Amino acid sequence: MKCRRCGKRAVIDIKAHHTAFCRDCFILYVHRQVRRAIAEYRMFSREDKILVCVSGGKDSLALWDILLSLGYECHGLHLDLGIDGYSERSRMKAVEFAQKRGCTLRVISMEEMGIPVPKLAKKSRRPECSVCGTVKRHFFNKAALEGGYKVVATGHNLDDEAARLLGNILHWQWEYLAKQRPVLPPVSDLLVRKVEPLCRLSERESAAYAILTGIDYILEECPMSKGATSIRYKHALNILEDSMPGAKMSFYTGFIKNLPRLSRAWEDLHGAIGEDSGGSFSRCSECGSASFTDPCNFCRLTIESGLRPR
Amino acid sequence: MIRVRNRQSGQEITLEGPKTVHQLLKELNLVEGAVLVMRDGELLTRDARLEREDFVELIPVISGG
Ligand code: SF4
Ligand SMILES: [Zn+2]
Ligand SMILES: [Zn+2]
Repeated sequence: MKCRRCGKRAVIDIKAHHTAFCRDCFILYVHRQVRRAIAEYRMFSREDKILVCVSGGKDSLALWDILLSLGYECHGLHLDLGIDGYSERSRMKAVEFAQKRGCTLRVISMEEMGIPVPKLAKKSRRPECSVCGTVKRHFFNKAALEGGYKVVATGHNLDDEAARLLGNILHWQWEYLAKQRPVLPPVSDLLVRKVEPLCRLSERESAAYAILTGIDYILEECPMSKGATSIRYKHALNILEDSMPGAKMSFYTGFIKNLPRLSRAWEDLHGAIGEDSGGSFSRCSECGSASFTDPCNFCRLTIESGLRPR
Repeated sequence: MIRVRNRQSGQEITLEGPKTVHQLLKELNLVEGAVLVMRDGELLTRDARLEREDFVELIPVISGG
């Protein structure tokens, strides 16, 4: 196969777009897709300072690389989740990337705070991934507020989002559906804006980008992800995609396009969301974070588990 | 024989050659969206021909959690 753009030997074919690219043209294509997502969903501007959540995996490191290449001012944040072995190896990848590129990375260690995710899960008798999600949301927002960042960016890709959408629809999780969007606007001065600039790139494209740009990422899977339903949803969507190229993209972007119709559901739940309104948010009396409940989810988790962060 | 190694699990198998990347994925029951295929440090498109004696790596790209 030849590169559609320059005619050199192609290294990747993209069925969804009926195209194929050589290395250099693929990198241009990826940058264009990300620029398009940023513009289309008004994620951030040149003036915004961005905090990129980097796990050490392909998506988040690719995202960091892309935003740096596009000239944005962005720093990294790595949460060391305290998952035996896996977390140390993930952290190394994030730290090495930052060193190699000479960019700023902050590391927050759950172990050092006495709240590693597996222990929190055990003590609170909750599933690891749900605990992990609560911890991530809490510290991403906290670190962004502390550092004066306007935006938090995560490496969620099209497969992540399409799988999440499928799961939310299969179980008709209205509340989650209403919250699923590539940009979550800030809420007063309590929650910073959250964006997913890779939402137009498939997981395969994101991995190919990491490989072709020489990013050394962690290939190993988190031990807690065994049997995750998201993998089954991704598989189902990839089977569809095989015979219907573009299905994932139209499934996800079609949903986002129709979101305004869903915002009424959101408003019914939490009041209007937007720059100026705090809706029904208030501050957690324990840690000061934004929350629908008091104490917030994170503090409830740590109180229940008897493990309070040091 | 084509040697095929899974970069994530380290598992290695051998298959009859020659065949295309597309045929290889079909034979292994893998969907295209789930893997990348590499030979000599280069990514391959689905029409690439794998010769006998080739050594290829499968890189799974789907992560969960
Ligand atoms: S698989 Fe679960 S525990 Fe592991 S990083 Fe993902 S969400 Fe956290
Ligand atoms: Zn080209
Ligand atoms: Zn709290």
